Amino acid sequence: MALLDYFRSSKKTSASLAKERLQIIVAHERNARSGPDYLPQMKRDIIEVISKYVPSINAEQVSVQLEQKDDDLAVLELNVTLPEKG
Amino acid sequence: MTKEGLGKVLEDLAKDFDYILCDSPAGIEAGAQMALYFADEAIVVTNLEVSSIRDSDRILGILQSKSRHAEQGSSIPEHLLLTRYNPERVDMGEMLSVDDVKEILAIDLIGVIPESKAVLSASNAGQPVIMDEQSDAGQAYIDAVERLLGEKVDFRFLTAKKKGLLNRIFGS
Repeated sequence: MALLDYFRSSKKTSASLAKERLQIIVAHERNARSGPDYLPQMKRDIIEVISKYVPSINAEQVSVQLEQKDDDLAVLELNVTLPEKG
Repeated sequence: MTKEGLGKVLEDLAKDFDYILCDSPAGIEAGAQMALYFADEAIVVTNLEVSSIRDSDRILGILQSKSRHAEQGSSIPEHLLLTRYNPERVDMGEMLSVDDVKEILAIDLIGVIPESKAVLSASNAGQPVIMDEQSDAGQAYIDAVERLLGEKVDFRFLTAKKKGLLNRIFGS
């Protein structure tokens, strides 16, 4: 009985878990959608350019994020993790 | 079927019909995008599963950016139709509630269809469940149609049925 009580009083119901997951999923997808259309292709082009100089680079080491700071200010953030030398 | 072709078909049909319901394949691929393009109004059907709600959010995004009205700068009314709702499971915390979904999708609710055995029975008989006017699902669909036509109808089938003693012993 004590075990059942534990599950019953646990605040995390499966529905609240679903809601949390959904809020994250939906926010992430809406953010990806709100960027300009050229963003995915631009990211691929950037990776192509980098790989001319750093052949072992792959998509996971490059991140391109567009953040709308104000009505008239958007910041494009590019992060490249270069592989270790040697 | 091209977009222009579909547009012509809808234009012809509009001469003879007040309402044209364009069913859409589930998901967000070309078929669904084609179906939604000419819409003047949209009913987004979703059940209470995470994948369904996520797809509905995507479809709403597409409606708001890629429909013909969106391209022309205007927006269309969007309605949410929730299906397979099970108030007992909602009360137990196993299923997302109407309020949860309204909070996430943020569109106007046009109907809640309860999980119902009548749906399979109607499908077996080759009949739409709305024709089974005794059933909860059929009545819920009728309510939804009334709301679409502008009537104010209270939402039914949102609360768990209170089981009497006999129902508890013999009922399902």
